[in-house]
Amino acid sequence: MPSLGVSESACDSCGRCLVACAAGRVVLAGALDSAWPGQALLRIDGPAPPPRIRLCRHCATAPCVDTCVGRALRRDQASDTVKLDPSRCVGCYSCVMECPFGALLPNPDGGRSARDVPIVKCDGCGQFAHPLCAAACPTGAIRAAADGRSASSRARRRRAGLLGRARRG
Amino acid sequence: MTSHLIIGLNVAGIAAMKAIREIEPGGRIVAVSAEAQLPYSRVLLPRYLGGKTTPESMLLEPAEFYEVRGTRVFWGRRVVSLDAAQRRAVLDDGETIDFDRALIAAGARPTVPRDLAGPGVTGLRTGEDAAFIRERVRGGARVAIAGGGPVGVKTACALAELGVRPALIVASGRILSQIADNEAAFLAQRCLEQRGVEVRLGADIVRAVRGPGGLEGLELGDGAALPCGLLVVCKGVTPNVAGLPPAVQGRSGVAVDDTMATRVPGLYAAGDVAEARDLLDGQPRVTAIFPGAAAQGRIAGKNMAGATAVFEGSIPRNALDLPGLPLISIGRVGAPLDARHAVRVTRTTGSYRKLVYRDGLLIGALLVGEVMDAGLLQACIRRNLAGLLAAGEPGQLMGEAG
Repeated sequence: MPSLGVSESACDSCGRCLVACAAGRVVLAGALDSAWPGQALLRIDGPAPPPRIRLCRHCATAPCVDTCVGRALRRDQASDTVKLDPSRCVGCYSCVMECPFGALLPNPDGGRSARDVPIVKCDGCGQFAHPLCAAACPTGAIRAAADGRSASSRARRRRAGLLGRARRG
Repeated sequence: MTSHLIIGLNVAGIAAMKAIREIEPGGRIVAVSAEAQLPYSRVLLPRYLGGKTTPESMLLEPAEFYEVRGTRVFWGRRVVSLDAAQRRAVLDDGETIDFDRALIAAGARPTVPRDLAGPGVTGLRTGEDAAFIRERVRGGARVAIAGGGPVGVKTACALAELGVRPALIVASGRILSQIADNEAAFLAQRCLEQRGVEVRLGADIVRAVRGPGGLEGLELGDGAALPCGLLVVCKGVTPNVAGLPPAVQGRSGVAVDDTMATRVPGLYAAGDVAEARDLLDGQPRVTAIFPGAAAQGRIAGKNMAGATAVFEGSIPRNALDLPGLPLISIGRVGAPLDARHAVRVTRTTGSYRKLVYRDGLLIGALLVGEVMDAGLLQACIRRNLAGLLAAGEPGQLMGEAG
């Protein structure tokens, strides 16, 4: 489960998550369905305490999905993540307006390539069980939800239910 | 098993359908859709007009979504009467549907002043409207757009990109008067004008001049004549309340509480027809925006299916993607000049940012050019407005942003 738990107060702005994510986009390009090579899909704003971790929480009920007029943002039940399909994105900025975590980031390549969308977001590291940012985080500010804590209590409950059933089975 | 009726199948109706299915898998859902084609994103109509999107990519859900066991959709039909006591709806072809709970998500239609309505005058709310406009434009008709709000501006922009050079007729002294201040409106207007839109501010349409060939032009308040063969009216929407029991009706739409329930047990409402609580002043009001419809529909669906969900209230907000100039407006963006309010303005080359505070709390944000912080700001505004409301100190209505 690649969903992420984020605790901004634990972040010391070391930036390892950014390096891991950006490097990951290069290494995993091709293996991921939405890779922007070399581009970190999260951002740390300011060392000002606490730093703001602009990273998708993959909300169970996601405001960005609710508002996406082109249905480019969708919750993918199989991977439990919120996915962006750039081919459907019309660049309306509605998701930018709705995300309380500021997790939609400007696409540095926006307007200059075939992926002519103004935004990028975390792709949850695709099928990989441990998101690279969480693996690289030394302070526990970003954790993989598999650690038992996630951003969304509903997703957590659902996972607990799934685990419970698995154990009984 | 509860029997659910969903009247109107667009953003709110679909969100309710999903919520009901999630809670009651296999539950019985009957939906009535006024349009015969698969529901699509109305917000994208200006883009469609400008040839920038296709009907397929406008679909809210694929066809399979509606073909689930337990779900039945009446396409191209309308509910003409809703009997709350009998829990029975009658369709325009006489068919009756019995239900336990019903969601009124019938949406709204463009408000077209009666003295303008007639040949050559349309709103932009359906694919049919868009097709009509395209056909007229192809025929070489000169186009005027009435209304300088987000829909009028987007429509003008889309037509300008087709090379049409439309006239945008705005009653107010600036475009986007409800969501922008003078400076932001100026930036947006310049963007429109650079693309070939002729903006007429402070202009009233007195009369539509019609001849044997249909619409020939408009007579404006200052006596000027504006020749045009097509007028697109983008002056807000009117909730579709025809056929609904009087008991559910509010000031203009359907009155709902925070669970999206109407005053009549078993009847719910969501989306552009619903008067839900506005966080700015705590009063019920139709806030016809896409994300609001999705949230309200989901909450109504959950409550209809027996779960408990509460709507946290609407914040007027809008994202506008003018070419090269995104604009986002959230909450109260015009502040009265008094001791309790303060504004902070930041300008850079190509961007303008205004934050509005009330007693030191952020209650509004207007971002032009650089908008990437909008979501963070909305979360803050939402928290503050809910807090003010809970403390019995609601903000006030915006009126025209100042």
